[in-house]
This record gives sequence, C-alpha cells and structure tokens, in this order.
Amino acid sequence: MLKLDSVLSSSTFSSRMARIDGDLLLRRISMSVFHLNPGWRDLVFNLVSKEIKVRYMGAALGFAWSLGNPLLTTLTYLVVFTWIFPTRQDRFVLYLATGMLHWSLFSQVVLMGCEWLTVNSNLLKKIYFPRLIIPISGILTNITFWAAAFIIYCMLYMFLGGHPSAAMLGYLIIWPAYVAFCFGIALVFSVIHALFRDLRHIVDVLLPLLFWLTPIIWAPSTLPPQIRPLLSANPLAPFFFSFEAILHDGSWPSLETTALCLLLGAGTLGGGLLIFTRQVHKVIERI
Amino acid sequence: MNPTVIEVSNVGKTFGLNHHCAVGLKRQFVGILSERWRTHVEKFDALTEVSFSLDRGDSLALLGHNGSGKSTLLQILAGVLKPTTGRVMTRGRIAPIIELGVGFHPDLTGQENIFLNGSLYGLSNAEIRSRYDAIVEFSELGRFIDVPVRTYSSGMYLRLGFSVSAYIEPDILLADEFLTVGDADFVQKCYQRIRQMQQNGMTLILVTHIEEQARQFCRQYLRLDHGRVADRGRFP
Repeated sequence: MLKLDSVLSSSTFSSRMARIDGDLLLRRISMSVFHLNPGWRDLVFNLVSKEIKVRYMGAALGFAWSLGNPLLTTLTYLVVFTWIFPTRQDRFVLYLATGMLHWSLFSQVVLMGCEWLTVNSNLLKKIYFPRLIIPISGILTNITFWAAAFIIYCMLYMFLGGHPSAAMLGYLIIWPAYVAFCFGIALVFSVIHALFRDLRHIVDVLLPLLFWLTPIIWAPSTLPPQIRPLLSANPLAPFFFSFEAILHDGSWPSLETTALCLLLGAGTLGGGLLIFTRQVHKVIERI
Repeated sequence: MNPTVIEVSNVGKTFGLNHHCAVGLKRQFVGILSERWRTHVEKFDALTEVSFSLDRGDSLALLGHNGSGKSTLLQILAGVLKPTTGRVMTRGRIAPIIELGVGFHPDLTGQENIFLNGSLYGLSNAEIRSRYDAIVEFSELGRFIDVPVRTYSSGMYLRLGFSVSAYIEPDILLADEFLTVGDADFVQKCYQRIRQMQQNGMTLILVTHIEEQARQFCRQYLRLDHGRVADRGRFP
C-alpha cells in the first residue's frame, strides 16, 4: 500500500480510474489535449492535413471543388430571386452571399460531425489518444475548407455592394461564438449517431427545412408581424441577424442579440463537451 | 531498484451484450410496443479481479484461450477501454500494437503514413523526423516509401507498420500476436529489435497462445481463463 501511495504522488504518473470526477473534467480537457504531450498538437495537424489531401486527391481542380457546390447553389437562388420571384431586399446579392457562406459552415460541420466517431472507430478502438482530438481535427478540417469560400467572399465583398465599417470588429465576437455553437451540436451528434445510425439521415432530411426557417434568403422584416416572434425559436436566427447586420447593413448587432449569440455559443459548447467527454468511452465499446 | 511501471489492481470489465441489437430508431420504437423486438442487455464479465504489477524492464506473457479476456485486458492497459471496477496505473509512453498499420490511409504515401501513425502514438513531428531515416531503413522499403500505401503488398504494409512501432521507443510495449506474420528474415529482425528494446529497459506485455513465443520473450506469465487469473508464475 505504501508503495502504491508513493507511486500515486509521482508527477509523471498517469492514472486512469473507473470513474472520473466531474470537477476534473475541464482540467482533463485542457491537460489531455495540449499540455500532457506536445505530440497531440502535431496529431491534430497531421489528421487535418490528411483529410485535406485525401478529399480531392487525384482531381485536377483539387481544392477548388469545395467551392463548386456553394457557388452554384448561391447563383441558382440569385437567378430565382432576382428574375423569377423578384425580392425587394436591398443589395440582395450581398445578403444572399453572407447568409449562404455562414449556412455552409453550419451544415458542413453538423453533417460531418455525425460521422466523426463512426468513421474513426478503428483508430479509437486500437490506439489511445485524447478522444477530443478527433472532433477538434474534424472541425478544423471544415474551417479550412470554409476559409477558401470566405476568402472568395472577401475578395468579392466590395463588388457585391459591401462597405467596410467599424462594425466588422463585432464579427470577431460573433464568429467564434458561431463556431462554438456548431462544434457543440456536432459533438453531441457524433455521440448520438454512434448509437443510433439514423441520425445522419434525419439530419440530411431536416437540414433543408432548417435552411428555409433561417433568415438566409429572406429578411425577417418581410415576415408578417404575427409570426415574427416564432423566429426566436430558431437558435440560428440571432447568429444570422448579427452576420447580416455586420456584413450587409454595416451596423453593430443589438446588445441583446450579441449577448444571445455568446450565451448560445458558450452553452452549446459547454454542454457538447460535457456530453462528449462523459459518453465517449461507453460509445467506443459499442462502435 | 526498478520502479513499478504498471500496477493493475482488481480490474474487472463488464460488457453489456445487446441481443437483438436495436440499432436505429425504427427498431427502438418497435421495441416499445413489442417484447420480441426489445433489446435485452445481458451482462457479460470479460474480466474479473485481475491484479498484477510489473517493474521497469519486466516482461509478461498473457496466455489463455480465445475469449479468455487477454485482448480486453490489453485494451484496458492501452487506455482504449475503461475498467468497470478497479484501477490501472501506468507510467511512461505506452505503445499498444494491437494491430499493425492501424491508421494507415491507403491513399497516402509511406512517408506521410509514418508521420500520421507516429503522431497517433503521441510522437511529435520533430521526434518522427529525427527517427525517419531509421524507420525507413528498418522497413527496407527503399524507394517505395513515397508511393501510396494502397499499392503495397501485404508484407510491405506490415513491415512499415512494425517499423513505425519499433521506433516509437515506448516505455511499455503492448503486443497482440504481431510477430507471427511476415517473411522469416524480417521476423528475425523484429525479434532482435524487441530484445534490444527490452535490454534498454522497455517493459513488454505480449498476448499470445504460442507458449514457445512466450518463453522466448517473457520471464513471467499470466494465464487467463474466462476472465479470471487461472495461473501465474515465472518461466524456468
């Protein structure tokens, strides 16, 4: 027993117990991912670069294909809502491009997130590394592809009718909150999908519905006043209000909207991390 | 005195065996209405009250029939599974070689896979870079190293897998019968490499049912039967 105690107090000792206390959770997350072993940072880097290399391998246009789908969809909506069902939205191109850009981040992260654990089941069952590395490299892969679209958006911004303004500083608050929100949802979905393989298909079916329920193509001001309050039930709405305010209108989002975004981002991320770190070991036994 | 590097105390592992495994929501809903479709979970004790400790440089062979719990114990030691009861403590870098070439991506080249695989075991890219030449030389892959792994023969694949594992320089090596494959010359080379690592103080746990192989590498053995320790001791 004495031997065991001295062994326990040793600093390099890693101990895995049957139960993990909740208060250790946050420390475990930060410790296990980055401080314990600098190699894990390189693992994230290697996994992300693998995904990027593999996805468009052998295609002549390579990375550019990631822009093909969002670009064509945006153009389709542009044609439909400019000439077929004309909208009165001021600078509709910019409004649409802003909405589509940010929608694509959400839909990609959530769709890919479903399969984070199932696709990597072989790795997870054979080698130990901090489990959070899989979702972290997953979302970084998504953000890398998204960044290509974002750069195109920035280059076209003035041409689409945008005016740079001081309100753009607000983007530095809203965007991280939005990513945290997407990440939190994807973390939970990755756990659920490993247990119920229907989830991915459900998400596939419901995402287009959510797309039309979110102010991406239409502006909230065009809604009849009596159904406008229903919009607050959509957790994506405050983010899209903010993005349109900052990038389309050049004005700061209201304080309430900003606070709501931050709260949604932090809450979803916190909940997602909690569920993921608590459940991932049980899930791995079953995939 | 050599410090203890592995301490396993009263480890037990219970799996829930899902009969009629109701994967998918449809079956879950049907299960609410009909007893026949309901998932019933049977408890299955894969391991019961297993305890042992190993010092630095020790070597232990885990013996037993198929399904006796050897691989479950190995997965618990690797940290992949959590024990249901008891605790496991390990010191230093663990390399679980449960399967060679896990994590290799077929479309990546041998070189890219060395980096990916090394970092899965916790090596930084700088550490891998410093060992890269030794890994390639050991694997005898030569100019095939920058060709996608999907074009490799199964022998080449295993050689690359073992070479990465051999240069992780772990404090504890957990091996699951990985030495039974490959051509004779390379197997001999792997044996030598493992002995060399053992002389440098590496602790080895080897899962096997070949007793001859166990004697060759291990000084101690632990025989499992239905998840319980049936016999333990030292090889003469």
